[in-house]
Amino acid sequence: MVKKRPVQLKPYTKTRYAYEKLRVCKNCHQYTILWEDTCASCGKHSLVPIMDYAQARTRRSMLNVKLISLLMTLIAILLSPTVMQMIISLVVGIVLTGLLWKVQQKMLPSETFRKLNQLMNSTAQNIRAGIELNRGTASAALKEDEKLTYEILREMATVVHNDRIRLQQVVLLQTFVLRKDMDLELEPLLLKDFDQELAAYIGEIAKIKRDMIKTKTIQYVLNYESHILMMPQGKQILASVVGACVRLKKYVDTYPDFIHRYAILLPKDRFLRLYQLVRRNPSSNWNGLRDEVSSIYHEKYRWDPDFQNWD
Amino acid sequence: MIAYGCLGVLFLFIGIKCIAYFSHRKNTPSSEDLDQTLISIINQTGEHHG
Repeated sequence: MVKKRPVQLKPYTKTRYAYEKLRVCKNCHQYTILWEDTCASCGKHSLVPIMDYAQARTRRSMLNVKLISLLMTLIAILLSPTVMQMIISLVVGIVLTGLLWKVQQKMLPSETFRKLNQLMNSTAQNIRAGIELNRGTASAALKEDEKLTYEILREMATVVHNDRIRLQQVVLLQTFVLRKDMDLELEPLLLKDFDQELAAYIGEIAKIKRDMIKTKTIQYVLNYESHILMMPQGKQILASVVGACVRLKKYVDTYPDFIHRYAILLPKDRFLRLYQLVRRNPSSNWNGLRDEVSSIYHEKYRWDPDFQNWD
Repeated sequence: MIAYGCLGVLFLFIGIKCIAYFSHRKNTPSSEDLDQTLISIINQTGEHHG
């Protein structure tokens, strides 16, 4: 068994949209999803968020239109035979350019989005190359710094959606001592198929961060329950997940059979929580879960003061 | 007259540009569309390599 190491993970900055993580080098147009200060390709401090880059290009294109408009005004002034015509050309030119400037200001956000879309489609190859370079950075860091590798993979997983990267993250997470204060994730790491490392990770999360166990994870555990039971710590993993489920009544309503199967394995605090839920809902039988809870209570906790106090 | 011709061209140029901006706005991709575009670009080959 691999010895787990205590680590301090870099906080993960969540963005509303994945493209907000993508940056591009103004110098060599290399893309990256990582947080480095200098471009991995040219070494210059010229990485900017892709949205800022698209906005700068939009502004430049709008500036060109304004310059053409001013040039036309200038030509009109120079070709005016009289002072009166010169003044008219100047005023009309300024008014029209001002109008253009106003419209451009209003249209800047939509034009930026359009430019960003064009940019992504026209530089798709560069974007993929940038992500490959990031993947190479992660591979290079693997032997020396597993923590850094995990942090790189976590950033990459914002845009790279496949089971390989999820599994790599889970495997690395399983080499760390997990703590409650860590910036961990679970649902984005769920795989299509069963994996022992993932099942073990779910078991750990169910113990340290119960609120991360949600419907998708419970469904995954249910789908592969028989596989998990074949693992040496399988029953403990399932009991931990059930322990996390009983924190909310909606999970007891949805998965009473699952909870029924492992209620006997629950630690005292989690069983107390289940017992309280059952007592608070006298009208719900939950497919025999009520009877099972009652039987466990009489068998193990009948004289327990914590249970008596609650009564 | 040439000056007025230039102003006419300027008027047309700015008019066309403004119409183009307004028509672009109707077909502007949303943030969700951009996200989807990026993810599909990256995962197009990402799945193959992955």
